Amino acid sequence: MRKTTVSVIKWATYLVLLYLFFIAQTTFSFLGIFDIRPVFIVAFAVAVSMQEREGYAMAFGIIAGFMWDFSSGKTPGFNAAVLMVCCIVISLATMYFIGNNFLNSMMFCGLTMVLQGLLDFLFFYLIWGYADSHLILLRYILPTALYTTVVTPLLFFLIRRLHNKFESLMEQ
Amino acid sequence: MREFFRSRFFKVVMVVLALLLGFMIYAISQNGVGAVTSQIVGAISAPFQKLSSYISETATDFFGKFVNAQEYYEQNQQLREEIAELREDMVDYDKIKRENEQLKELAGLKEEDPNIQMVAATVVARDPSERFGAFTIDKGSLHGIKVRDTVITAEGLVGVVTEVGEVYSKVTTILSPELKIGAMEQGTGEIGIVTGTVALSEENSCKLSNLGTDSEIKEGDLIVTSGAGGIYPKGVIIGKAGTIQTEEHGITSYTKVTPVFDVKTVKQVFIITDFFGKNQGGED
Repeated sequence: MRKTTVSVIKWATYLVLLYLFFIAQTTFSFLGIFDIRPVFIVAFAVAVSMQEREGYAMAFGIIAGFMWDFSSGKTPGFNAAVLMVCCIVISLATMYFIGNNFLNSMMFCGLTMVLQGLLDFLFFYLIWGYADSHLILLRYILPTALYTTVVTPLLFFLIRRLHNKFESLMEQ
Repeated sequence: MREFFRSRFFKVVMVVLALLLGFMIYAISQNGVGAVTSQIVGAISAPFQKLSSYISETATDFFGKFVNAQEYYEQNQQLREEIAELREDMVDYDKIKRENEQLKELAGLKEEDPNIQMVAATVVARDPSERFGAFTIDKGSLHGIKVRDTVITAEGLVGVVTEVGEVYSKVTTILSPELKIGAMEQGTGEIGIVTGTVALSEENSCKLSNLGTDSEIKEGDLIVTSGAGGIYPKGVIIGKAGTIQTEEHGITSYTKVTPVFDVKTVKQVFIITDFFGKNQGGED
């Protein structure tokens, strides 16, 4: 099979999976533990970024971010910008400095969620002066980051398996 | 590292970041109309979210029977106690009668105001990062929904539409600090402002503030919309009042208002697209 064709199929597969996880994230209420649910698309974007080059990671981060902006009601572009930067850093770090394993995927996802959460808390709650806004950080943002970090290995192994499969197809 | 900051890729990243920033500013200026990206994602995802939401609810109901058995038992016990309390409360005939009239008023909203127009909608999505129970419904501008339309259930006020796409709308609930709703206690006629707070949203409640320190509102009194400002129709039930407490500054008092249903789990809603007196004022 031609290399370009395999590459197109690979990215189409990634996008379809991202979309399915996006749907699951916004509708699967039974995954909730004390009102906390995982943000699958962040874990997914992190997993893809660890396998792909920085340019593709950037594009994927933007798409995932815009999807998250839509579902969370945040200003369109906010999560897209955050995920774009995080995905580039993750891709470069995995390429040059850090091993490509599930523990590092959890660390990257945790850091991405905490960074996004802190910016979210700063721009959407703290600067508006809502009383007891620290409760949002403790009750929602950090537990959501933790829950998302815990489910990250599942997506990491899924994406790594898909990536290796497509790579072997390209080499044939 | 220095080479990276001098590379063409880094310059591309900076340009894309600047574009995203510009896009954010543009989106904010649109005042509730969904941005292009939101419209695209909304149009693609709405039908699938509806299907997925149905599957999720079915799965939740099925597994919930087993997972929540203990919870159901406790709820059953709690409901039995509540029934016993309600039997005692029946002695307070006047209070029950007044609440009954309030409920009738909501149920008869359409009969009292023939101009009222409502659209039924289903909740199709709730994001994990949303803190105040905001949700997405499966109806949008194609169904006549506009920004600031009131959202209710048969039991009372849910919130207001804050973003509209062609086939979806975003609803901000009364638990959010962003909303300020003109409210009154019909029995005493006292008026105040209902708004959400971070702490009370944890308890599925909101706050009725700006009451006088000599307020006569009692625990259990029904709080309804005042209709002032023309955003919300008059007489829609918001919830039941708690005990009156004085604010820290000592000039006014407030009370907790608990909706009679769980705002964070509503599945079916009605959007009031028109009513007598709509937009006759400047309240937000």
